[in-house]
Amino acid sequence: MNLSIRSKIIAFVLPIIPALIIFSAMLESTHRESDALRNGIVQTYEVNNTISALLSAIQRAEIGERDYLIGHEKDSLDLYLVSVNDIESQLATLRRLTKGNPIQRLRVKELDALLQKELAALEKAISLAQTSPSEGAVTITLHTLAIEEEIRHILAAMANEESSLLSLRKSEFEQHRVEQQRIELMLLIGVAMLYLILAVLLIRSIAQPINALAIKANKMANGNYSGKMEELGTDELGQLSRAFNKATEAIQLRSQEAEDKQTRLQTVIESSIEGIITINNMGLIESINSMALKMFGFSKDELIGKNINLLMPEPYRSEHDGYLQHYKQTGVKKIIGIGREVSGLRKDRSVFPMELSVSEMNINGQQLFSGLVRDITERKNFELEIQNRESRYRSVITTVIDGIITIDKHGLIESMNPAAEKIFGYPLSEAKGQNLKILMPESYHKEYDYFLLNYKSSGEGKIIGSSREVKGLRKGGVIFPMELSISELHVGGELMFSGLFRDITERKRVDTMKNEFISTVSHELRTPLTSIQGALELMLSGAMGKVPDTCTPLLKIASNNSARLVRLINDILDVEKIESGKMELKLKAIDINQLVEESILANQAYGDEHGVKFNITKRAPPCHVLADSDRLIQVMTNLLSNAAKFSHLNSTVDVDVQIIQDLVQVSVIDYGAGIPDEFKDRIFNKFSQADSSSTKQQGGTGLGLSICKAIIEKLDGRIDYESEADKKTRFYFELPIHDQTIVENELAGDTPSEHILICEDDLDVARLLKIMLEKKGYSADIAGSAEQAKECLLKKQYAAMTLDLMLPGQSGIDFFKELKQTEGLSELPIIVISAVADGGKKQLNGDALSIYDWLEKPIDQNRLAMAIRHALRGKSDHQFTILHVEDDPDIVTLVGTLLKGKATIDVAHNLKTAHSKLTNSYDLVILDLMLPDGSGATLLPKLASKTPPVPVVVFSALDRTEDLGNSVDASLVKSKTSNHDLVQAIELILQRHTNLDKD
Amino acid sequence: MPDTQKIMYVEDEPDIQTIARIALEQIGGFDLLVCSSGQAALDQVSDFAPDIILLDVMMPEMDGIETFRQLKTLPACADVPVVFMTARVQTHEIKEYTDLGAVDVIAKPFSPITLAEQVKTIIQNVGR
Repeated sequence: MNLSIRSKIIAFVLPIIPALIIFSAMLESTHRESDALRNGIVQTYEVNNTISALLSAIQRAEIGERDYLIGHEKDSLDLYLVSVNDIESQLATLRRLTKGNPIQRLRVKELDALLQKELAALEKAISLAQTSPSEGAVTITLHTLAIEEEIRHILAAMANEESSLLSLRKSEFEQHRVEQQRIELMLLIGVAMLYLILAVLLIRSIAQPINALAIKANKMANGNYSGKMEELGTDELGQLSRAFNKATEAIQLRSQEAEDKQTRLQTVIESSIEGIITINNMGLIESINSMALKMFGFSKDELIGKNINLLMPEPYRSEHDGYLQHYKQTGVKKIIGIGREVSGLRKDRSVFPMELSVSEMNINGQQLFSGLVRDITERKNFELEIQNRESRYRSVITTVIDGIITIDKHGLIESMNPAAEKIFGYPLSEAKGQNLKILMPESYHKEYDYFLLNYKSSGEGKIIGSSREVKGLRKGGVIFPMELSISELHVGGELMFSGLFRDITERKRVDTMKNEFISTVSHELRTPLTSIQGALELMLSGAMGKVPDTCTPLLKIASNNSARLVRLINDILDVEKIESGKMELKLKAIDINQLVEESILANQAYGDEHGVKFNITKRAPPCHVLADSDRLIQVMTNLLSNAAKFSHLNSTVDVDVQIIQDLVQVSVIDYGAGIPDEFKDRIFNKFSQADSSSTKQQGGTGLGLSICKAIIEKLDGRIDYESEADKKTRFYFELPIHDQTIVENELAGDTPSEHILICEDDLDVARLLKIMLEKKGYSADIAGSAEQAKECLLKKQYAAMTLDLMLPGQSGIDFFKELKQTEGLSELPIIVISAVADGGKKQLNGDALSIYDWLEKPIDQNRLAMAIRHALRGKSDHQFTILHVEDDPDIVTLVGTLLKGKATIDVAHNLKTAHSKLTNSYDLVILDLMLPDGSGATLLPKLASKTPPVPVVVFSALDRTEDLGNSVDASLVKSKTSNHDLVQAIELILQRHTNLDKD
Repeated sequence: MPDTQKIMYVEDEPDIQTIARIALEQIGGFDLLVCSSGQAALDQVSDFAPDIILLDVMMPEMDGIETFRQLKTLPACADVPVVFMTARVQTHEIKEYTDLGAVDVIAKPFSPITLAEQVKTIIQNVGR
């Protein structure tokens, strides 16, 4: 049944309605019949009444007439008249009532006639009585008696008739009433039966499912969610059942979730690393998790329901109940919501520190407290350890011989240890809060201010973390040397600096003594050696006459060993210098090929002694390194002599020089025994040789390679070796290339070289240009005229073109203009070379920008190379390239922003990076003087040695213009220079140098 | 310029004096005057009028540096080139000598075979 409940009810009710109508109609009809019967009875009664009234009226009329006849009284006459009227009205009533009964109607007609007669007689009698004596009237009256009798008779007949009618009608009525009651009863029963059926049906289709729902709901209430309600069709009940099922599912899900949550919570509580205990407001334990049990050493049963104070040592135990009581009465909390450290009591009566936090909850009206407890024994121990450590540190700090001072970010002294007090002569009480400047000579004040300022703004300081030598100022004005290292601290979010320093007055003195000692010792050793070696040399040279053959080998042994002793002394002095950081390097650009050749030449004699030939197998393209030539030769000598010493007799030692990216690599390769593996880790260590016997045998000092390593590293290079036993050993060092030209040439050699077109009608000049360009690593083609040049340009891709303005046929100027209009060639960089360059410049004025450079004959080779280089670089980037040497990122950002669009900026944050970057060419260098690894000023010689020299703008916090002299183009002081001034200065210098290049 | 050039060598060490004598007199053919102390040199320099003075540094009583200073105060040898001949040849030491006005430095131990040639070259360079 897919009907809705409403439809069902309608379906049940509909058949009842016609039944009800039929029953109603039947009832209506019986009612109508009974009404008719009742009316008949009423009419009978009315007829009888009217008959009586008529009879009475007739009597009253006769009485009135008689009395009038007798007494002639007016009252009697009135009675008579009233009665006559009455008679007539009664008669009319009677006529109306008997209309439907023919028999009675006839009788009324008869009666009417009789009454008319009677009344006429009476009327006559009265008239007579008024006019004449009474006899006549009596006669008439007598006569009326008979009529009267007759009237009475008819009336009686009528009354009889009505009586019989009445009894008949009454019986009919009674009979009808019984019938009606029967019908009504039947009707009632019928309706009742119908409703009964309806009720049964409704119960079946509505109540049962609802009942089922109720049962299910009860089950659910008892927590049984299993099983689905069967679906009850599609009607509202169906919907209800589905909704109920949905609700059941939802409730089931929620309840599952709640259960899961509960389980999880339980698990969390159980697995919590903190103990969790709940107590009621009596202080009795309601629940306790495993951790808490473990912590206190009890089992669950031992604690549930027990007073929590069981877990507390005195005095907490006694206080606790009072505390709870107090809280209950006053609501004043002591622990609730606040964690605090208390002591706990284990089952074994041991006491341990714990952290407790209590929260209050109200569950179903029951006041509960949950306590989170954590065993903090370890933390306490740790804290104790820290305290101990701190006191140890403190005692170290107070007893250490180094001075320790802390200053705040404003540079004011915060603390000084006793050593610092002693060194400077100020007690802490006097120094505290004073500016650190009181402890330094005035020459340091400016730098110190700058340091603090710079640190505040950039968070960077060059002196942080590194140790350096400075001067200190004692109370009383004595200046002394000290070694200082500064570190940054953050104490409670506040920036602070701590300085650790040592008075090195004594060390300096010892240093000086040591230097003097070494110097003296070396002198004292060399002096006798001078005699020994001189004497031996004179004898061996034969200057003193012939030495017997048997003596010569012995003299040689003596001579060699004295020479070795001299080398050893020299090496020891070198090592001492390196270690004390006193090795000074006289840096200049050195042609590496040349240096290698010289070294080989100088050492060939030594090689010859070992029967070894030095052989250059590979040369680098011309290139320079920035180095101290003496030291570099020392390195080469060492490597060559080592190679010779460890080579087989009559073998060669190969030397190879090559460029690897921006480094030049020099390798010295021997084909001797190689270096044993176990020796590899310490080959560059002092006094290390593969075996000590070889040291003696080979006459080495064991210091050479460690000195080489120190020298090469000081030159920003790297030294290393690779060795294959009995095959070959290669020692090599790498140094940064000093000039970029060479790198470009080298690249040009590796990659297809850049083609330059020479458009020149004078063949001698053209050849000269070609040679010049080829020397610089370019390939060049010659075109004798504009026409030939066009042909070449069609055939090949050229990187640039030189152009003579005086050409046969089409003039250089016209050719130039034509090229600028030609698609694909308009961008070709053109270098104008002409005896009349100036005139051409005027003619090409509007187009001057498209020309990269102007050169006048006779041509300077370097100018040409530079012009080509600029042209090729300009092709990819028209902007200037600037190297900014600066360690302060804020300044870098500032300058970068100011020069945006004007130049491409490359940044070096320290000297070392700057050195390696300077292998590239720059149009300008902006230089900071105070760099983390030294003074920027040390870059100046390198910059000046470049061809052409790189313009330099010093932009530093220090005002050092005078010291730097002519080597810089501008010196700007950071705090005094506006952004505008900086940009203007840079632009001006760039412009000036560009013009210098061009003019 | 006379045929035989005159060298004054100031050296306190007798053995080295001997070696130097052979090197400069016998091999080099110089007219050599050896002085054993600074004072001796100061006393004799005017009479000897050397073309060049070779000066040791580490000497007792008066060291080479002081000797140099005092020599230079004498009109007779104000223009005479002085070469330090010493075992003290660390960079800063060499710088000290040249700063003083020494024309060159010969390091000990020197090679007696080539010493004369070395001195000749120095004299030539100075003379030029």
